[in-house]
Amino acid sequence: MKFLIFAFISFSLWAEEPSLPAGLGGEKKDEPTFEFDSNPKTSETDKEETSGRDEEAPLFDYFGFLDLRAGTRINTDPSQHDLSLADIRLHNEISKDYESSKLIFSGDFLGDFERSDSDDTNLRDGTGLFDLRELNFSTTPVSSIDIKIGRQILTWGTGDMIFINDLFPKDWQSFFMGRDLTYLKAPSDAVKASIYTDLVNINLVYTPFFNSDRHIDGSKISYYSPLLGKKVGRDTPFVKEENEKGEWALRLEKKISSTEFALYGYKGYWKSPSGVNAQGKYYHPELNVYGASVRSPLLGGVGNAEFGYYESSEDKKGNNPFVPNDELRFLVGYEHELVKNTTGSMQYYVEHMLDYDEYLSTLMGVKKDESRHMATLKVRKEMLKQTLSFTAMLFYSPTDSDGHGRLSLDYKLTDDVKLFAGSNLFFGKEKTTFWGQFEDNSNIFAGTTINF
Amino acid sequence: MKFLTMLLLLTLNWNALAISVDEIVQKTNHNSYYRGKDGRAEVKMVIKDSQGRERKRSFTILRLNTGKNKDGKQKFYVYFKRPSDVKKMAFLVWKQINQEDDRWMYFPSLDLVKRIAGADKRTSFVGSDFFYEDVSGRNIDADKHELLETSDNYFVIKNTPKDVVPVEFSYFKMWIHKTSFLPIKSEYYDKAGKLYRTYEVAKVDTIQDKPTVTKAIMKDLNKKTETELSYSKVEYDVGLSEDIFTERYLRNPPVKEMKF
Repeated sequence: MKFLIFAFISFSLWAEEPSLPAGLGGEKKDEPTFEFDSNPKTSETDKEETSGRDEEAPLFDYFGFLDLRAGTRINTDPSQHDLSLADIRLHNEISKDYESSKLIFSGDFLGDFERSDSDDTNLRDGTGLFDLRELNFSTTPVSSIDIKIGRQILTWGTGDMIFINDLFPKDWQSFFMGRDLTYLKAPSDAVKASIYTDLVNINLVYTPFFNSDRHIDGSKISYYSPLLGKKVGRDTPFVKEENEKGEWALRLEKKISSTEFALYGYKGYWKSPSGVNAQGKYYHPELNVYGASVRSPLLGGVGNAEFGYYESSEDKKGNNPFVPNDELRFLVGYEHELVKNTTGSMQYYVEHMLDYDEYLSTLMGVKKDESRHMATLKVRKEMLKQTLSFTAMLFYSPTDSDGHGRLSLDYKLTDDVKLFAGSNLFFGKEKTTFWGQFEDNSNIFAGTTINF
Repeated sequence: MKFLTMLLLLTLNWNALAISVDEIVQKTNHNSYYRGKDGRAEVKMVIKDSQGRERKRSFTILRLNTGKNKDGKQKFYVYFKRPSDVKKMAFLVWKQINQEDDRWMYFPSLDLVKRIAGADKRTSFVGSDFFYEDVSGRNIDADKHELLETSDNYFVIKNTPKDVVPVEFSYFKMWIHKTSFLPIKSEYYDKAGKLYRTYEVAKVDTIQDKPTVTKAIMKDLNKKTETELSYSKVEYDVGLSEDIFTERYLRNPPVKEMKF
């Protein structure tokens, strides 16, 4: 009996005890002793075996995707098509690494079927059949300096879709019409120098010819025109004076323990054409920005704060109604995991106009408040082992009583095929406020991305 | 006489154990996550769902031990190669011991360095059956450790969490190979005492005289999914500089250090 119990116990122990894996003697099951596979030849073979599966180093690195998407307005806008989005996009990306430098090309062949009056290809504003995203050369001439020259995507700052010190070009039309988030960032034609020192890291970006935002101009999204005093769309040409002058952007960055501090400077122009010149054309007035940011772990999440002083140098006194006044812009944000696989974040943002009395005394058209406040709330949920994700983000301005809601649902059918659907909603009490003017552009969209 | 017998028993016992539970756990933790001053490897994951569909991940991982004390802080740099939608993304972790890790993710198409809020460490790593904590290591002070038994090849350790709230298991058992101090198998039991998750090593290679796990399988028995993880081109003491684990190299991947 005792023997039986013993046998049973040892059997059950044996049953759950793992056999030795390969490399710890597991190959030789009849031999109770085991030896480490210390023979260098054997491990060399193993190495070859595993690395042999890697493809031969190709001449260059390539990847691409095909992105098909379509969307429709949910309200009727007499100045626009009902179709809000109809893209066939073929993205190609080629890169080549050298010892201490790198060459990157990426560009999209874009069939934009919503824009029936198809423009000629214009690499600067991204219209037409080809959109060049990147074509740059980066190199490390000495160990503490990186230089990147050419067309590139540039981002810095701490906001989530709110930009104070990031004055690199954005594509607001793509962002509001349901293109991939990637396309919120328009490319810059610039030289970026990064200098790394123990005291501080310096990033300096020079853009020889001003890179405007791909701003709202009526061609896809209708807006309130203060000049005409009404809402306008694609039937109203947007006439603006191009700017060919240069821009400078500077960031000094320092990490102390886990906290990231940064100071910023910008010398250039308002990224959207917010001035009106003597000929009644929109233009980009001069703008200097001085700012700072901090980002740090906070109470189990991440907190950030950012500030910028917008010096509208063509209207220092604030009494020119055709040029924006100086502004102070503030942002605080916090992100935290709410429950497993669900992250929540909130931001509070204020734009405060300086010289408001002067603004009021020379005001023409619709009056803006001295301070515009805006809060954002975002929830992101990952499901089914990160193959299904849902994101909802709300921008709401209590001072303008308007807002913007963004919903998106992504499902990765396989590693290479993604299906998605989403919505961009705009609402507001007035047709003249920032979000309110876009109300008739509210849209839903869906599509697929296939990687290859 | 009784006294002598007891003494004899104690001595025998002492000899039999020879090594304390804490030492076993520490050595195992060291051999699993802290080998050499630094290390690098190519990692492949094959994730299989209950219907046999496969998803694949591949990335390069660089690691540097930075703690002043033995087996403390570390920095990790992960550079994704596959699938295409995450290709060229980079993930930087400054692993802390008694506080949240610092984590950053770089999205090249936006040139965006996003700081990741300290997430639950027991959630899927890159959509696989491995948790973030399985890849970066679980704090050994978070569990109580008991030696259940010693067999010819293994120390069998039961690990019970000191704080049950943040974890989904009630305990896990580890079969630790007696001479390499590598955990060859782990079994996770849920709060009802049911086995729901297993880890098993399929292959060990000796690299620079260090027995190293090069293939392992994690199974989720409830969801009937599994992930095979394989490491290739493993190297220790590469001479990685701490600079690599900064924003500079998130934006510009350290090509030289990753070509091996």
